[in-house]
Amino acid sequence: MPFQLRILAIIIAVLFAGYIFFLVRRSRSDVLRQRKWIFLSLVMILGSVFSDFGWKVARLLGFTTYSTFTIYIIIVIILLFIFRMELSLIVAEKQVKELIQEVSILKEKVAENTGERAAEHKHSEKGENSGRIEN
Amino acid sequence: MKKILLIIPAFNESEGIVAVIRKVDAFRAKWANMNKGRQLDYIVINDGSTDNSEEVLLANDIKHIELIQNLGIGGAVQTGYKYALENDYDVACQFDGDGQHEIESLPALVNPILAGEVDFAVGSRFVEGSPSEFTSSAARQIGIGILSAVLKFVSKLTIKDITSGYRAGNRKVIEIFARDYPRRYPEPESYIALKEKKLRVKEFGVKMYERRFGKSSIDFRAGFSYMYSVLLTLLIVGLAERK
Repeated sequence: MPFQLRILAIIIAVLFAGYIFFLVRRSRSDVLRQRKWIFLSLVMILGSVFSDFGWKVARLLGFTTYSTFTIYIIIVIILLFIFRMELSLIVAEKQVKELIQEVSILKEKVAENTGERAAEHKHSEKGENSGRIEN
Repeated sequence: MKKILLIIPAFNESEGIVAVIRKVDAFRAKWANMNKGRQLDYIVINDGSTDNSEEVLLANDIKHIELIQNLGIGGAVQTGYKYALENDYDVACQFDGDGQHEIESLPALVNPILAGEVDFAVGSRFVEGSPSEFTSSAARQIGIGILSAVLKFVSKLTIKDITSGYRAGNRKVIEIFARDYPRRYPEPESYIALKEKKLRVKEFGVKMYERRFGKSSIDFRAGFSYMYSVLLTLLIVGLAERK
């Protein structure tokens, strides 16, 4: 891996990690959510610092250039992240659906009770019986 | 006293929902005279309609649940099942709010459930003895045929009118669907869950009409997406259950 590219990769990884720390400190994100991106930064830094070892692994796996190997690894990691995010989204979607349903049912109940109470109040004011016809 | 609930999902059906409910009310009055000890109620689930459906429902004093966001047909119907579970209904029946389903056919679905013959009754246009003259377009019938064949392959369940939304279930079904119900294109997929729980599902002839009001959610372009999604779901979910 060329020296310039290593430096560039390290700078990008450090800036990326720094931005995540900034977000966490400003309470705009949390460590649990961002730990995967910190892991990715770490992989980028390690890949740049120990590029000789990385190159050996790349050759062992049949890659002809270290850059291709690096891109391949990063794409695999990002694909895994996206897949996990999709799963989280499905869970969140289900939770939102449940909330909407429960709130809507509850609103109907409240409206019904309020209506019933208003009707009872009306009846008691008139001195009528509130009878219920059943089959 | 056996309690039966009609779950009527509605999305932008302000044009026709009042007429549908008037027919349901007329049938309920008839039902009350003929079926002592069987209480028939309905609940409209207004699925976050963007037209004036809520105003219409309130103005006409139609009992409804107003979903605060649009959830799609699956989410709306599931809300009805949740309501049925919370309010101790013995039978819940899905009934479209667009005037496609004939309310007079309700006993054909509800009676076998109350008699304990089946757990889930499916209203069908394609079984022998169905009074329905309307059977859908040729393209839709081909699609329905393909989906039925795939359902039979993955679950050994024969449902000819697989997309029918006129269906009724007993308390066991209410419990299952209140807990988990497919959100999009729910009808075909839901059969796999019932089969997995070893519930008895059977089709019965009912009368259906062409959509009278509003617009179908599945147009020609969406039809391909529908077929692709449902086939994939049936294959993945069905084969996974089989294993």
